[in-house]
Amino acid sequence: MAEITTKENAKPSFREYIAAAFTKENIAKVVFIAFAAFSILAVFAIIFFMLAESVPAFREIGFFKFLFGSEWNPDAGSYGILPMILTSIVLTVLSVAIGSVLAVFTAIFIVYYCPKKIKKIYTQMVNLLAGIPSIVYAYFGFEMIKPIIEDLSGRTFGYGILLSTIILSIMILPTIASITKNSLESVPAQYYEGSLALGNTKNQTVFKVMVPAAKNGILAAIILGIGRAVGETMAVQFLLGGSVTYPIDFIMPISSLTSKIAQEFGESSGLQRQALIAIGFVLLIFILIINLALWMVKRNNAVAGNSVFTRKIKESDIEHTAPNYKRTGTLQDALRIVSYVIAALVAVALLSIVVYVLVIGLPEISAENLFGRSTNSHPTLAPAFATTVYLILIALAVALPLGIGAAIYLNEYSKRGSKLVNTLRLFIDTLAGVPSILFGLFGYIFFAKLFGGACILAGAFTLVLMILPTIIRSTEQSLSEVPDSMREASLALGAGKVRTIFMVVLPQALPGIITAIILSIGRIVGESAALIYTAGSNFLMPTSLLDSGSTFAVFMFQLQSEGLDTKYLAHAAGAVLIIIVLLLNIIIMLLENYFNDKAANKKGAIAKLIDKLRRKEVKDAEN
Amino acid sequence: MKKFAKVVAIAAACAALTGSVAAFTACGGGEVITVAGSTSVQPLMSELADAYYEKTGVTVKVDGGGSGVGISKAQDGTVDLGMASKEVTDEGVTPIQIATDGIALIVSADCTLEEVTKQQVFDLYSAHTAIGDVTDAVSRDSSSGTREAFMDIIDLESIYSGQPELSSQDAVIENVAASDNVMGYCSLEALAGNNTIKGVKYKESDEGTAVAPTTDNVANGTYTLSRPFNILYNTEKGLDERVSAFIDFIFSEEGAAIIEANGQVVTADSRK
Repeated sequence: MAEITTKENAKPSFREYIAAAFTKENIAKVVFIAFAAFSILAVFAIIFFMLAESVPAFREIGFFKFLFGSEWNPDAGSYGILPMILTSIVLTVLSVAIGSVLAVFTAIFIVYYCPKKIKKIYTQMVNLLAGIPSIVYAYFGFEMIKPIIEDLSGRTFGYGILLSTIILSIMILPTIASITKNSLESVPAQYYEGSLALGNTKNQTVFKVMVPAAKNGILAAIILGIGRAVGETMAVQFLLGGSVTYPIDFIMPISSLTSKIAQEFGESSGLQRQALIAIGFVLLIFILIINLALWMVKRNNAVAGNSVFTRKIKESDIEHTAPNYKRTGTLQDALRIVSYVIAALVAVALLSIVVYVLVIGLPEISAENLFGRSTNSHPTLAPAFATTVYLILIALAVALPLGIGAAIYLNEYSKRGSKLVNTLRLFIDTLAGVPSILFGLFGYIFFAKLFGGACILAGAFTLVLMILPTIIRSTEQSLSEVPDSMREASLALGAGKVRTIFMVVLPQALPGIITAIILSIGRIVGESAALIYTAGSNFLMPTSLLDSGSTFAVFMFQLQSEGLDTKYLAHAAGAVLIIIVLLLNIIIMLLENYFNDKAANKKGAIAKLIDKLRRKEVKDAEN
Repeated sequence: MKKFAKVVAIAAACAALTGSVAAFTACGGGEVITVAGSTSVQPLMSELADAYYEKTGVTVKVDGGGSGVGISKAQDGTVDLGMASKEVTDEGVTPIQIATDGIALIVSADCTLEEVTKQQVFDLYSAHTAIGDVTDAVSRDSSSGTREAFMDIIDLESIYSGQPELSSQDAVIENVAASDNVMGYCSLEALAGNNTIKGVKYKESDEGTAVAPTTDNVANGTYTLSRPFNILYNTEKGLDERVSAFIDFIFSEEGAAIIEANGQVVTADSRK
């Protein structure tokens, strides 16, 4: 190790000064800061390039004519997006209103009412709902829900806000539910006990004490849900129907900002393409505002109570109160029943999607369809396997070091609560909130142009930006769970900071990193909107990384659009996607169990590790 | 220190692996012809490309993107050939018509409508005026070449609002097939082998006789709802041998057989 010998009396010469500045420790710190700052760079790059590409459209069309015009007819040169803005707003408000009610009750059910036996499975099921790709939701909505709406309403076309709202509220439910669940769980147990001690029933306690105490977290969850709803593209593209009109009816073909981009971008050119990017820029502004709102809510999100003496509520606390249940006929008792009903509905929704996709898709899965030679006119899914593997490998190879480095800076180097850290977090959260269609547009403007057209490399780099926040958060979370005593022990034994991080802290954070990898794989496998314009949409086996290729989700999208007689293959791709998502969920569950078991033996492990470290230290010293 | 070195070594090994995979895959490709553009021409071009590969071993990569993309990519030379399902007069590219494609007006198989006039179609699409039982219409989205050709022929400038604008031909066919009161339009080839929909006869004016949408009628010019399938090359770059050979194949008897089997009408080689 390059040790710095401090000469307290002598003034260091310039050379020594430089040498001291370029120690491993300092270089490492700078590298970690740079990795952390990458998110800032990414957000600014997205804003800058989107704006730069939109300016010609704003100029040509006229900014106000573009924003407030009510006709979109590129053939006649009219580009007004007001109807789409309003549709996006109406669609978002409706689906968030429905989705968050469902989600909050689902979370309440999980935390307070779910029988212990099915709690794990039910939680896992809600996670599964989050993992289902949008394109699969789109298929389900189009083939199952649309005919039902047509039959019930007697209208010719079931397209529109109603159909999209139904699907969208299911799609945003897991996001809102999981964050609500976390904030409910972090309400101090004293609240619960205090309320019971005062003679409240369990239901009253849950709905009048615990839920209000978690309201900041719930608000943050809902804002996050708004972001997802505004940005959702592929599902609404299939379900809205595409006509540009004001939202005056719930069952009527219509377009939102995202659906218009997805519908026309691929086949547009010239001013129409610039106008579509400009729609993306407008969407980006919406997203930035939503993210700022989220940030403000999160800032005063501290749970009341003394942090030292606060206990989190435990399984046993809830069980002990179960016999105390009294029927009091209050509103809260009714709400309890509502939470059971909603939880059952969510389970039914999930099961019907999974079963539907598997039932129509599994019969189409054959060796020929999966691994046969893919040609232009008779595609198979073989290129999708190859493309997916390439994308995952490259994206992870770039994003993992970046993300882990950023997480190390945030947790190990930065002063908690400093301005720099707050800014970094704001930008990482912003990056996490950018919808995939905007990543797709940015990837097209930046990476695809850089590599001379849509190709696997351009797709992979676009994906890096998308999975980076997940990796940073997940790694940071597990880093923060490593006890400080381990760091202190390592430092006290004479290890430098870099050495402590790599040898002591990082190995302990492995569960978080592995979880991040699996989450990222899930995201990549199901992604469509960000890849269509960046990785391309070819049916042939990619022959190099500068060649275009389609993943399963892009295949599903493409097969639906090409007018080839290949619907069966889209169904097969859907089934493959569901199977992969199921597998990833099972792996996460198994890993969690494995690491939990390990954590139980951690005391022994720490002692062993420190012992090992000491032995090595001695050995190094001897050499 | 050793463990740190190990980490570095593993990272380096990973990087090397990725690099070698990249290098390996980069030299895997042989001779490739790239084609991109109109999604209407794409199914036909895909068949031609696959047959050409079987015959010569030359890979032809066919990408979609739409006619506009086909033209711009041929202009800047990023593809060997662009595809456009409309007349092309843009600068810098030379079009070669490889086929003529009919556009069929379709209704569901059980629909009572048999024939329509141009005026009726115009009124239905622009003003939501019913034609007999047919009360609604579906359209393609505004970047579709089929829509552009259709609107040109019918002289439509805009369509009534609230009409579904769908991003694929499949979606059009599904919507038409699902209801007995909906009209749509699609490439003629989609009619073949699909018994959920049927093509209606079409006449320009009230006087003439209505003509059925068949390839024969497109070929003899009596069915006027049609558009050219063009391929384009960069005028400045010209055609090199490998691309010329592929075009020769398109105009060969084998190529003609594929075009006919795909439901389009063969045209003469304009290069001669």
